[in-house]
Amino acid sequence: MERIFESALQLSPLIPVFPFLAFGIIVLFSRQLKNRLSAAVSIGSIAISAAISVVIFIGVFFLGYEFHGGEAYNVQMELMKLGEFTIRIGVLVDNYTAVMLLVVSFIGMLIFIYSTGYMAGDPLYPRFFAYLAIFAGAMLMLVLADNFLLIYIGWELVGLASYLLIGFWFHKPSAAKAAVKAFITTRVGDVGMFLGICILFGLTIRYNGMQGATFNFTEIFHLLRMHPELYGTAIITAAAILIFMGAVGKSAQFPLHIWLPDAMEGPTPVSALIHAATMVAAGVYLVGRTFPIFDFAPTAMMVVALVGGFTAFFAATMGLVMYDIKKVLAYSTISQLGYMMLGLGVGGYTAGIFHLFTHAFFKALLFLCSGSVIIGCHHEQDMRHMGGLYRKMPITFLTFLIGSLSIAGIFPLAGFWSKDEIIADALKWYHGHPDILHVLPYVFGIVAALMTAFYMFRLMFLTFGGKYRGHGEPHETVPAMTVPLMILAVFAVCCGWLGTPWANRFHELVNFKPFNIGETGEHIIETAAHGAVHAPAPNWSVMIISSVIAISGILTAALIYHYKVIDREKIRTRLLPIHTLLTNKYYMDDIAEFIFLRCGYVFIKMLRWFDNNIIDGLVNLTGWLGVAWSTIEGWTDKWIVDGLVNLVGIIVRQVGGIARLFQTGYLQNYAFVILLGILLILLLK
Amino acid sequence: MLEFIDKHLLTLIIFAPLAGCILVIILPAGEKGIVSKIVSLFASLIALILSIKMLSCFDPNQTTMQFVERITWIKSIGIHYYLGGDGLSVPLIVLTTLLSAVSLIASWGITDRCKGYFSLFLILEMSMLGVFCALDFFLFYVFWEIMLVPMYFLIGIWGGPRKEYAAIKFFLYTLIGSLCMLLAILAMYFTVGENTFDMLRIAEVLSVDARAAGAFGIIVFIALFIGFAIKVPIFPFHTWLPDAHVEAPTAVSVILAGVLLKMGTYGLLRVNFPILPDAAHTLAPWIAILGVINILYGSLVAMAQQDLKKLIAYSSIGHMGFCVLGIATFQTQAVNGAIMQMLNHGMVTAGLFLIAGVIYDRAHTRGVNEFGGLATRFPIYSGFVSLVFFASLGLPGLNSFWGEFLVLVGSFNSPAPINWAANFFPLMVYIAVLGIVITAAYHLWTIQRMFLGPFNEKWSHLKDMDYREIITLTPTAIFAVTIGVYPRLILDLFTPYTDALLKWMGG
Repeated sequence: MERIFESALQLSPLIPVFPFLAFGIIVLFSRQLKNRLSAAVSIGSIAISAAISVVIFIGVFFLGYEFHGGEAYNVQMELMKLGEFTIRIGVLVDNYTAVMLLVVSFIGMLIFIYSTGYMAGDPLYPRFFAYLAIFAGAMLMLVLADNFLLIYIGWELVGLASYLLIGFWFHKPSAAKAAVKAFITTRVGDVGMFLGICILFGLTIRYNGMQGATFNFTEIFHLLRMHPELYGTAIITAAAILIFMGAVGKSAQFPLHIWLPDAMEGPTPVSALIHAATMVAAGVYLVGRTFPIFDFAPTAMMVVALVGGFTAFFAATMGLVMYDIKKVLAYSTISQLGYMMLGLGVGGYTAGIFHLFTHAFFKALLFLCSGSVIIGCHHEQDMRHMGGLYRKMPITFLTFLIGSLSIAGIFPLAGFWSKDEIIADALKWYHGHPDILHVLPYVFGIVAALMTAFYMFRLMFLTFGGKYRGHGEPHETVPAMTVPLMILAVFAVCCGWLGTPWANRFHELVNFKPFNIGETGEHIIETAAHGAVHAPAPNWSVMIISSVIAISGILTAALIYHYKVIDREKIRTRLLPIHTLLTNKYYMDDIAEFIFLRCGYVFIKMLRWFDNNIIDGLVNLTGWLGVAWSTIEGWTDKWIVDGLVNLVGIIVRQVGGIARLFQTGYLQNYAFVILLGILLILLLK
Repeated sequence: MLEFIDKHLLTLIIFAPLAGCILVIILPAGEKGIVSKIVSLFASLIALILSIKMLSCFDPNQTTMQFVERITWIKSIGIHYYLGGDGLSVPLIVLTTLLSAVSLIASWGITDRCKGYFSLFLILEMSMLGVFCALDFFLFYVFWEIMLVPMYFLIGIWGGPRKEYAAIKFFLYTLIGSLCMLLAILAMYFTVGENTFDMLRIAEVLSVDARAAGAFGIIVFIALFIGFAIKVPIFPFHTWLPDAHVEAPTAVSVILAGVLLKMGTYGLLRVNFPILPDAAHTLAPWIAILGVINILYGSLVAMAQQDLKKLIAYSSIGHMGFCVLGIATFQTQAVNGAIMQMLNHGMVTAGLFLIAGVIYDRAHTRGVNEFGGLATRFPIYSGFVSLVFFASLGLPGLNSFWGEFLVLVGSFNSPAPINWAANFFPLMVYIAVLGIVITAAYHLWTIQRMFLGPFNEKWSHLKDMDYREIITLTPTAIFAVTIGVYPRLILDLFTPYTDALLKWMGG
């Protein structure tokens, strides 16, 4: 068995290659391949990747195998050599990677299969599978990267895949717009990340010289370990915050979250795979992967915790009022990603990643369920036109219910364990520094948990409860869609059991060990991620509080939307200004649009005018002056220079005319003049 | 025979197009100029094959000149027919021959005065190759000036509605540049006083000469710089470019953007920096600032354009800014990145202009806003457009990423210039990265306006790309993907050259 694990590790660099190949094959031969075969190529490629990933995950998590020579499996190759400087890129598999590989390739595979049902009949069916494949390849490359360069490449390529898939139904102007918005907004974050990479790369040049310049994670962390004096310096803080900026863009954190709700224009499997389970978690993954850098910058950690906490709260408020079933889930995703960031920011490394892991399963489940609902209701997304589906779509209903209970944090489903761990860590952080700033993440977390339970069950009651209010006859969907739902539902229940406080296998394997700096750097260990090696003890009070909160959220939703004890119209009219603010998403889209589109447009128009009239005007002026000058010169030439010449000519002619009088041709006249001359000479003498 | 080819490889590469040109003139044009077309394509393919042979014989690790040919031309004033290639020029020669062949295929649609068009085109190819090969200033200048003539006529006769204006503007602009250059060359010639126009010899003497370190060096540097900056083009000498591009026929735009612009940066690297290293170090920060202005200004103005060709022209200005910024840093990664960006931009922009040509040939308009939803009806065309556009906006995994990445990373970490703020270069990069976002924005916005959304039924009679057009775009596509995946393929050609140059500049 161990040998299989070893060979899976050796095959790990190929994990992203299979989907990339599938992309190439489908794009080049889509006409010959037809629909069925393209889907098969795509699913086959991800299945191979998933098989390798599952072997690695099982080997690490259940069989307890270790990587040869330490904590990770690492192979590298030389990418380029510029003088004495070499860029090496490689693949790194450690426990953390194993988790991500499983999440991406296994959930990815289920969603690929689901798509065969969801996309049936679409004219661009093969292309959809090609795009899914390139996404999977890029995402797998991102999680396998052992250096900033490769992670950045994967990072941008998933952005491309996201762009292509959001805009998949590109004939809809809204989809096209959403695709561009997503790409540009995340690129704003990417630029920050790029600069962060530049700073870190510069540090390696400064300390190791050009030969030692590197993008490699391990070597950069090693550099930090060797230089404890860098702890908390402005340069590390700047690098960490800039890298976090990339994560803010990709993981849709405030204020760059605006692209994610619009991204729901893409087909629902895309929303499930990319905009819920995997790609948007890449930001969280990045912060986790580069955690030692954040650990060196307490201020940056604070920023992460506050941005994450605020996002968790802020997005949840908007989730309360949406009627589009996918928009609710989109805001819920933003909010949950905020939780993960919050967890990481308060030093709960394991908690944040654990939530990433569980969330991937239950959120993929929720999105796929919503897709099933949408198909079942004949492409209806507005929950006001649904209702009563629990009888018509029993499998979808049950699996949706499991997903909602899981995200709401009901014992013993997956979401309960991971969310609790984050809230417990936030509380611990507050106990470490009891002041107003440090209590905020905890408060945000608790309030957001209440809202999460509420909006999820608002969604459940509106969709499945009551009577059907839509058009046509709703129906259960095909097995290609329901089977993945059932598999994911099993995971949404069970995957949290890897990390219960009593048997915290997840914590044992994925944890953060702060650098052992020794006497001088004792303070670093103190403020760093806590409970590094030992799993946290069960925190009963947090568990009870959060359970009570979740249940009260569900009950409130039930009272309002199912039993209708509380009149929701009354609440709405009472809170009209807030309601308007929320349905308009705090007007952030409008503000962004005004600043970047309207003002930007005016600005570039002005620049164009400047270019056409000032710069080119100067050129044309120079040209005109040249022409004018030569015209003047031409005139001068004609009338003055030439005039003078002519004047000379005239004078000469006149003089010649006079002189001509002397030129008689008679010899005696000449002899007379000669005689006069001789006489004159003699006289003067 | 083979030995002769080996010995005179560069000469043969340069004059194969000229031989073709003579044949084009002698032979009848044939129906729709078919004879001219075939002869000229054949000549350019010979040049291409020879240049590939040269590439295969080229040893990048040898940093002295290779394929050297040197014959005395005019002895009394020390002019030689002196050719050679190194890591900088060899890739550019191959780029030139490749793009010339591509452009000739793209010119197949020309029916008006074929003899003239194709013979001028071949003269253009010859002169471009000559510029990249020449190591004697006089020879360099001769080729440089010859280049203007065919370009002037190609734009002025076969161009669009405002062709005369554009052609004259191009001609005068570049002529002023080369006038400055000529004065600088003469100044250097007389200062060295060895009766030689040999570039390498002049570099050897002047780079360590005390006279060249002072004001004299600065003035000569600026004179040369203006000559090359106009070609790049560097802000504020750029306004000839959009006009020339808009009016020029597709194939001429391809050559103009793909090869001609590279001569500016080539000149800076070949002439300015090695000959006047002190002046270069003094003025480098200013050049870097101009580079950053190019990046931002070019991409911002590009965003405001409605005409696809004009948009691409301004995007060229932005992209060339990366080259300018990179070479001004004297830092390994950045300079290598700049050279790489030259080649990448050559291939990608050629692709962009071919793309613009495809749609213009069909719709007879290039207004970005007049289309919409083209992706529904033109799968092959939109596939190529997506690939080339994403390459152009610097998507990782495609070629242009590496150039921009190396330039920015290298610039960020290059040491501060003397007497300038310590974080001068990081600051430049902080500003330049905005260009990345803007570049992405206008590329995607263009795709959105032309290819996405509902299909504009006005264009329902148009057909997708034909085989000839696919052939012209294939080299760009292959290059973009191959180099994107494995950049070493071209990087290794010039990294030793860059090292040698930087050592020369530093010592």
